[in-house]
Amino acid sequence: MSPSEPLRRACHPTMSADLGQTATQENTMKNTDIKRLLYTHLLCIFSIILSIFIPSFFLENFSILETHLTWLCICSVLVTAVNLVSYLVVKPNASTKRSSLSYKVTRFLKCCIYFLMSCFVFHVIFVLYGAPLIELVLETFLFAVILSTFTTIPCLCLLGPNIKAWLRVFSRNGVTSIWENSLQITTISSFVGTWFGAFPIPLDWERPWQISYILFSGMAHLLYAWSDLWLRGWPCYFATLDILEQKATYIQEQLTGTQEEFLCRFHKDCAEMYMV
Amino acid sequence: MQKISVLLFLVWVCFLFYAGIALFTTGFLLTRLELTNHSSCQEPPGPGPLPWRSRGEPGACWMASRFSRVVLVLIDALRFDFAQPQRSHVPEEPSVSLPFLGKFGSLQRILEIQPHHARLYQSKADPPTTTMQRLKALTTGSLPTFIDAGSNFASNAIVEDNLIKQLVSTGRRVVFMGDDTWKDLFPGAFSQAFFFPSFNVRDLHTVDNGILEHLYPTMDSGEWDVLIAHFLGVDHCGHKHGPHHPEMAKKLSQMDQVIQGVVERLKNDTLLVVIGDHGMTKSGDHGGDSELEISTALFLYSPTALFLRAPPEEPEVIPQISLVPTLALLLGLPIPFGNIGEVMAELFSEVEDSQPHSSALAQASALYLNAQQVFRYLHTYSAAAQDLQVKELHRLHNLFSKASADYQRLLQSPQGAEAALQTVITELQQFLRGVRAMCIESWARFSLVRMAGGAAVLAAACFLCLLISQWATFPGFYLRPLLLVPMAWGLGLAGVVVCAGLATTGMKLDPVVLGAMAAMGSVLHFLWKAWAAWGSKRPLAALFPIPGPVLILLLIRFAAFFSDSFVVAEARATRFLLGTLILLLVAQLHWEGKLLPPKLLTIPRLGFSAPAVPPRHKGTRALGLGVGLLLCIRLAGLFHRCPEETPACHSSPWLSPLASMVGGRAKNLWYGACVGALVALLAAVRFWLCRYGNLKSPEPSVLFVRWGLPLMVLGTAAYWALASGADEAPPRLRALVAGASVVLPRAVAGLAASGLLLLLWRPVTVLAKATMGAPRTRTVLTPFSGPPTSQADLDYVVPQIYRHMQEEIRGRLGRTKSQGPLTVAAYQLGSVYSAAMVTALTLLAFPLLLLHTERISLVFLLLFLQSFLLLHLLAAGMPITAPGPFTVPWQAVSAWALMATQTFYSTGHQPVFPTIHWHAAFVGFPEGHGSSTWLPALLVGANTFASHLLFAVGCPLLLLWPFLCESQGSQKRRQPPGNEAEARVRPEEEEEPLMEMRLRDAPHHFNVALLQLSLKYLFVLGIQILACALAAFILRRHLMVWKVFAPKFIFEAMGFIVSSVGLFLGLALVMRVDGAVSSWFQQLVLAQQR
Repeated sequence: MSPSEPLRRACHPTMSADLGQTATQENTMKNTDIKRLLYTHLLCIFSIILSIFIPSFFLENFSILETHLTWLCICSVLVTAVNLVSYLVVKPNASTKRSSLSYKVTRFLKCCIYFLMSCFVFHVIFVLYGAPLIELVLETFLFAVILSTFTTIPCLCLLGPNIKAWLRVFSRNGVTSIWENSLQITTISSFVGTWFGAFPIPLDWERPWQISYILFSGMAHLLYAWSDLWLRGWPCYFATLDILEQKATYIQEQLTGTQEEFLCRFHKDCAEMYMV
Repeated sequence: MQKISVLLFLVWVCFLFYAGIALFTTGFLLTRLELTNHSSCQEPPGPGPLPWRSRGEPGACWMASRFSRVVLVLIDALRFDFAQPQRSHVPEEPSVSLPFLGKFGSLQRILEIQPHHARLYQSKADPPTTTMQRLKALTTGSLPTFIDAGSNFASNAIVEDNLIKQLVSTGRRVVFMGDDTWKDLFPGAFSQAFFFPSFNVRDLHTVDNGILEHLYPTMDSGEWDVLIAHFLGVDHCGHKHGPHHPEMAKKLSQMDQVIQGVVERLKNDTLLVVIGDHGMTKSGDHGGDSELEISTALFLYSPTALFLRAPPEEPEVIPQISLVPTLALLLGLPIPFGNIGEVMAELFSEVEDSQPHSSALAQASALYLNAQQVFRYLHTYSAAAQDLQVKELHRLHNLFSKASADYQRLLQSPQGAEAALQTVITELQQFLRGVRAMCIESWARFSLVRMAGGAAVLAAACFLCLLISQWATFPGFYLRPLLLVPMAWGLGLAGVVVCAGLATTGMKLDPVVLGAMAAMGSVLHFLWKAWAAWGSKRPLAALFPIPGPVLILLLIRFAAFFSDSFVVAEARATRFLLGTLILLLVAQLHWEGKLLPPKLLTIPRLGFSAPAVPPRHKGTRALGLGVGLLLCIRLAGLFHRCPEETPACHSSPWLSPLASMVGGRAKNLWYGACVGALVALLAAVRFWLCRYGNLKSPEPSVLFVRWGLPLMVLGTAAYWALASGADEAPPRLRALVAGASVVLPRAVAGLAASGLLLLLWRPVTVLAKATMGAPRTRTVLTPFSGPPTSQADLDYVVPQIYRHMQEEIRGRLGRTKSQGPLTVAAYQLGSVYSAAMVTALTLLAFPLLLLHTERISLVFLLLFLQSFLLLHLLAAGMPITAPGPFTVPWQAVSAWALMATQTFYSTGHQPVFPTIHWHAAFVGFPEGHGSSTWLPALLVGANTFASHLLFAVGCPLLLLWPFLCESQGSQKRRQPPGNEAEARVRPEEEEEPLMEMRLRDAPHHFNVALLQLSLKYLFVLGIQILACALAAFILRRHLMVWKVFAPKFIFEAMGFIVSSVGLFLGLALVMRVDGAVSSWFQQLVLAQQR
C-alpha cells in the first residue's frame, strides 16, 4: 500500500465526514487501551520488585542469591497472578460468544495443559542448548517455568489456547492490535534477554551470582525484558499505530480529525492526489 | 569468467592471509632450539686446565664449592622497588606512602649492619615475564621463549640442562615448597616437596601459608642441601588488587617476616638467595617487557662475609640469569650446558685473602670457566640451528679466542701485571655480554612492527574478501583485469625490495618480510583500483549487506576471542551460537511465512478460506530439521574434552580408546556401537547416492563406492577389533596381530587414496541412454514420449533429462533431421556435482576416522548427519534464482564455519598443546617412525584438523544443495502411481527439474558463485584469525597470554591453513567435475553426429 493512501482517504471531505464520528470514538478507545497497557506492565514490574522484597518478611533466610529457587517460584506465581488479574479486569479482546461454564472450564484446563507443555518444551530446549540433563534439573525446570510465565501466560491470557493465533501473532504482519503488538515485543525480548543471560556464565569472575547461571539468566531476562519494554514503551505504541495503519480495515479508524488537518497542511495536494 | 582465474584469485587471497599470519607469527612467537646436552663434572667446558682452586680438592667439580647449602626464597613478582631500602634520612624527599614501599625492613637492617655479608641487586628479567618462562630461565640460565622448539608439547618438563638436574646428579637433597608449576617442570627431582595449587590467582594465602607451615620445621630438621620456597602471594595480590592496595603492604610485610625468620636460622655454610622472578605493571599484570615488569629484586646474604667492598650507593643492575652460573660455581656444580648468563664476579673474590691480585685472578678464572661454557654452547647451538647472526657469531668467536689467549698467557706467568688481569676480565665480560645481547636479539623480543604489520595484512585480506564477495555478483564484474595487475604489482614490489636489499646490504632478506611486502603492495593496488572502479558509481553501503542477526553473531564470535574465559569455554560458546543460528533460521522461516501453509496465517477476520488441499508439511519438516540439528549438536557435545583451566569440568570418558576399557561386556557393546556407526555412515551415503540415482552409473568411481567403501569399513572394523583387544590375543597370534595392525590402516588409507584418484579420473557419475526413432510429430522431446520400450526407464528413481542438451543436438543435427530425431536421456545429471562431492567427503572421512579413537566414529556419524540436516534447513530458506546470479547467504556460510569449529571440539580436541592426540602418529606405525618427522606430524595434524578439512572440502555443497532439493517437490507430486498417466497427458507436468544443470547452464554465474562462496567462507574464517591475532597483540601482557591466547592463535592459524587448502581442493573438485561434464557432452555430441 502506498503511504499516500491514508492521506487520500483522510483528506477527502466526504469520506472523513461520515467516518469522523467513529474515528474519534476509536481514538479514545485506543488511548484508553494504551493507558491500560501501561498500567498492566507497570503492575507486572511492580510485582517482580515485590517478589524480591516481600518474601523476606515471611520467610527466614530469604535472599535472591541463596534461595533462588524459592524466589523463582514466588516470582512466577506473582507474575501469573498479576497477569490473570489484569486480564480479567481489562479484558483486552472482545468477549467470546459462548460463555457457558463448561466451556470456561475446558478453556481453563486447556490453558493449564498448554502452560505445562510450554514448560516442558522450554526445558527440552534448555537441555538441547547445553543445560545438564540430570544435575540441576530443578533449576532448569524452574527456569523453564519462569520463562513460560513471561511468555506463555500473556499469550494464553490474550489469545487463549489457540496455537494458530499465536503463530499468527509471531509472524510478519500478523499483529492486529496494540495488545498483540505489546505481546510480541515482550515475548521476543524475554527470549533475547534469556539468551543474553548466558553470556556471563563462562567468565571467571567467581561472583556468587555466576555460580547459578540459571538464576543469572533469569535475572538478566527479567531486567532486560522489562526495561526494554519500559524504555521503548511509548515510542512503541506509536509505532503500533503505524503498523495498524497498514491494515486496510483499520485505516479510517486511526486518524483523528486534528491529525487529518495537520497532515493535510503538509500535503496540500493530497486532495488532488485522491482525484488522480 | 574462467575457472582458472577463480582458482588463481583464491590462491592469491590465501597467499595474502598466509603472509599476514607468517608476519604476525615471526613477531609474536619467538622460537629457540632446545639442546639436550648436559654439562658434567668430569668433562670440563673447554680445553685447558681447570682453575687452580679445584686441583686436589675432593668433591669439587669445575670449581671448589664455597657453600654447601642454599636457601632460595623465590617471591613471585617481587619488583625491585618493593625491596628497595627507603632512605628516611633524606628530608627534601616528600614522603609518599605508597603501600608497597619500604616494607622490607629486615633487608634494610641487614644491609646496613652487615654490608660485607649481604647485597641487594636490581636484576633484570628477560621477557616473556611469565612465571613458567622465568623459572626455566632461573634454572637453565637461558632465554626461554614461548615455543622452545624440540620441547615436548605434551608435558612441560624441562629437557635442557638445569641447576636442579645438576644438583640431583651430584646427590644433593633438594626440598621444594610452593607453586606447583615446579612439579611439571621438574617431575620427580625433589627429595621432598610440598606443592600448592597456583591456578587460582584470587587466593592470596593458600600457597604462602602452606609454605610457612613447612619452611621452618624443614630448615630446622637439616635434611636438605638446597631448599626452595616459592611464594605466590605477592603475585596473586598484584593480579587481584594491584600493587597500590593495602593488601599488598600486608603481603610484603609478611614476606619480610619470612626473610627475617630464615636469616635467624641460617648456618655459616648456607647462602640465602631472595629473588623475584618478574615484576608487575601498575595494574599488577606481567608478561611483557616494560621496565616495571622486568626489574626484580635479588638479595644475597650469608652469615660469613661474602664481599670485599661495601655495597655501592645505588644497587647494581645485573641480568637475572647471572644467578645461574654464580650459584652453580658457588655450590661446586658444573654450569648448566645452555647457560648464557655471566657470573657475578664480585662473589668470587677472596675475602680472607685481602691481596687484590689473587682476588682478581679468582674472578678471572670463574669468568673464564663461564666463558668457556658459553662458547661451547654457542658452538653447539649454531651448528644445530641457523637463527643466530653469522657475522656477530664470527665477531664473538674472535673475541673469545683473544680473551682465551690472554688468559692462558696470564696463567703461564702468574706474576703478571694487574692491568693485564683487568684486561682479561673486561674481555671475558665483553664476550659474555655480547653473546647475551645477540641471543636476546633473536630470541626474546616481541617485534611490535611485525605484529602490527601482520594484523594489518590480515585485516586487509578480510576486507578484500568482503569486498569481492559482494562485488562479484554485480553485472560487469571481471576478475582478470582486477587480478593480474595487482599480482604483477606485488611481484614487482617484491622484486624491487629484493634488488634494493641486494644492492644496499648484500644480505639475504627474510622471506616472510618479502612475502608480506608483496602481499601488502598487491592489496593496496587492488583496493585502489577497486575504489576507482567502484566508488564513483555506487554507494559503499551496498558492500555490507550482511544481515543483522548474522552480523551480531559474527561480532560476538569476534569479541569472544578477546576474553580468556571465552576462549577456554569456546566449545560451549560455539555450540550456543550454532544452536542460536539454527533456531534463528527456523524462526526466520516462520516469520517470513515460509514455515506454515498460508491458511494458518491469514487473519480470520478477513474471511479468507484456504483451499482444501494444504501443501505438504514443510513447516513441521523445517521444525523437525531444527530440533534434529539441536539434538545432534547436544549429542556431539557429550564427546567433550575439558581444558585444563577448568578443574570442575570432567572430560568425557568416551574419548579414551577401547583398549583402555576394563569391562569385557561394555567393551563389546561399545565396539558394536562403533562398527554400527561405520555401517550406518556407509549405508547413509549409499542410500543418498541411490536416492539421487548416481549409484546406477557404471563409472569406476561409483563401482568403488559400491565395493571399495564396504571394504574400507571392514578394514577399519578389523583394525579396531585388533587394537582394542591386542592384549588379549593368544601368544601365537601376536605376530599376526602386530602385522595386521600395521597393514590394515595403511590398506584403508590406500583404498581411500585410490578411490579419490578414480573420482578425479572419471568424476561424472552419469548413466546415458540414447533412443532412436521417436516419432517426428512430437516437438517436445522427453524420454517418456518414446515407444513403450522406454517404459523400463520409469524404474529409475530420478530420471533426468538434459533438455538443453537435446536442443543442442537437434540444432547441430539439423541437416540430418530426415533420419528422425534423436533422444538422449541422461540420468543422474542433476546431482552430478554433489554426488562427486559426497563421495569425496566419504572417502576423506574414513582415513581421518581411523586416526581417531574408536568411539569418535559416532561423532563422525553425527557430523555427516548434522551437516545433512543443516544443508536441508538452509536449502529450505534459499530460493533458487534460476538463471543466476546464484548466491549463498551469509547465515549459511557462518553456520558452516561454526559447525566446523563445533566438530573440532566434539572430536575431543582443544586448542592447547597437552590435549593433542599424539596417538594418531602411531596408527599404522606401531613401532614409531624412526627419524622422519613429517609423517607423524602429518598424521597428528590430520587428526587435529579433520573437521576443518572435511567442512572446507564440503563447502561447495552449500551452493549445490538448494538445487538438489528442487527435485523433491516434483518427485513428491509424482509419487502416487495414478498420477503418471495424467502426467503423460500434460506435457508441462513432465518438465523434469534441471537441478544442478541450472548451474551448468550459466557457467559465468556458476564460477562467480563458487568464488563468492569461497570468499565468504574465507572471510568468516579470516575474521577469526584476525581476532586471535589482535587479541594476542593487545593482550600480550595478559596473565594468560602464553597459556590461552598464544596456543589459540597457533591452532586457529593452522586451522585456517588447513581450511583454505581444503576449500581450494573442494572447489577444484567441483571444477574438475564441471570440466568432465562438458567433455562428456562433447563426446556425446560427437557420437551422435557419427
